[in-house]
Amino acid sequence: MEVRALTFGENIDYRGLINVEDLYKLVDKWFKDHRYEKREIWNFEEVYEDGKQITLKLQPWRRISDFVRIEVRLTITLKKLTEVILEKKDLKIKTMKGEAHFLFDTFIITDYEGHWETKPIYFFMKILSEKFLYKSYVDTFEDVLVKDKEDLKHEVRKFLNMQRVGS
Amino acid sequence: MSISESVFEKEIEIRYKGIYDLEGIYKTIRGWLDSNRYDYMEKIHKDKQTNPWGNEVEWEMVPCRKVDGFIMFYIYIRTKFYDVKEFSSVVHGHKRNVTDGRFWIEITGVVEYDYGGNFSSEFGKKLLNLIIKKIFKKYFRIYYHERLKADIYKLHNEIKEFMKLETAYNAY
Repeated sequence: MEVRALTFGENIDYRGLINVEDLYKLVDKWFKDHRYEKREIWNFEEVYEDGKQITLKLQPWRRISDFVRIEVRLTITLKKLTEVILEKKDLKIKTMKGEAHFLFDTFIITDYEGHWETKPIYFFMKILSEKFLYKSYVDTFEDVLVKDKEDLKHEVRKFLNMQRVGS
Repeated sequence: MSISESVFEKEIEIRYKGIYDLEGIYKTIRGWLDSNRYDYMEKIHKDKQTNPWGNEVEWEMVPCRKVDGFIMFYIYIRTKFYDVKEFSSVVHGHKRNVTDGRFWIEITGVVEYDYGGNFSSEFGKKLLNLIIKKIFKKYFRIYYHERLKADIYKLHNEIKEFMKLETAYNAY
């Protein structure tokens, strides 16, 4: 398995009102709609004196072919979450207030089933073909992955009502 | 000869710190397994009084389900509860026993082929390997692995819903 990190450490910071339930629904639905396989590695929730802390690590992947798959790793850290009640048009809405940190990493993984790692000669051939023959084929998925990541980032920013969301 | 394949590369994990219902978690897991026709098996059930901050409770469950005469699903559930302190509290007008502390739950799954060991001869082993790893590989992956994965995420969500976690939702 060859893991190539395409983008690493891109983040969004936010402080204010967050509806955690809806945020999770948005992210989970987005991955489903874009044909990513679910993989939720961490789901931590801790209650402290200054509020709740939620840590999520989602690493869904999409199979491109038998040789290539793409992955988006999204790490969400929500801190100091406290419940607040908003009044909007005589309606009382329960939501949360706190700090949020989103971290986006993207990876292209080749030979993810390890077929070409059973013998040294196969491994050597795989490296050669990946460097010269298959390079342009694998590179075509970089655009797909970057577009997906930007789309997800845009959705998250839009959900949080952040400034300069763009089109 | 049986062949086992894990459906996850890494376990999925829930961690929690705060007040929870220990008995309720056990009942939720057990109830879900019973209603989804999994045979319940428990490897470890520990309750240690090790330190003054509270007990340490550990469960390891390996429920299994026979899908047909050839394939069996296993779900591995490992839980560890630290600093378990039980006390009575009034929840929604009812007196209940609740627990304070922290815990983690790890879940993973395995698909076992030929659990009855019908392909035990040398030729049988080779034939089984050929069938599972070459000819019907994609069919098994798409059909059985996905089914077990879906089951595990349903159980995962059931626990989250019981715990009333903010992220209790499953779009898949």
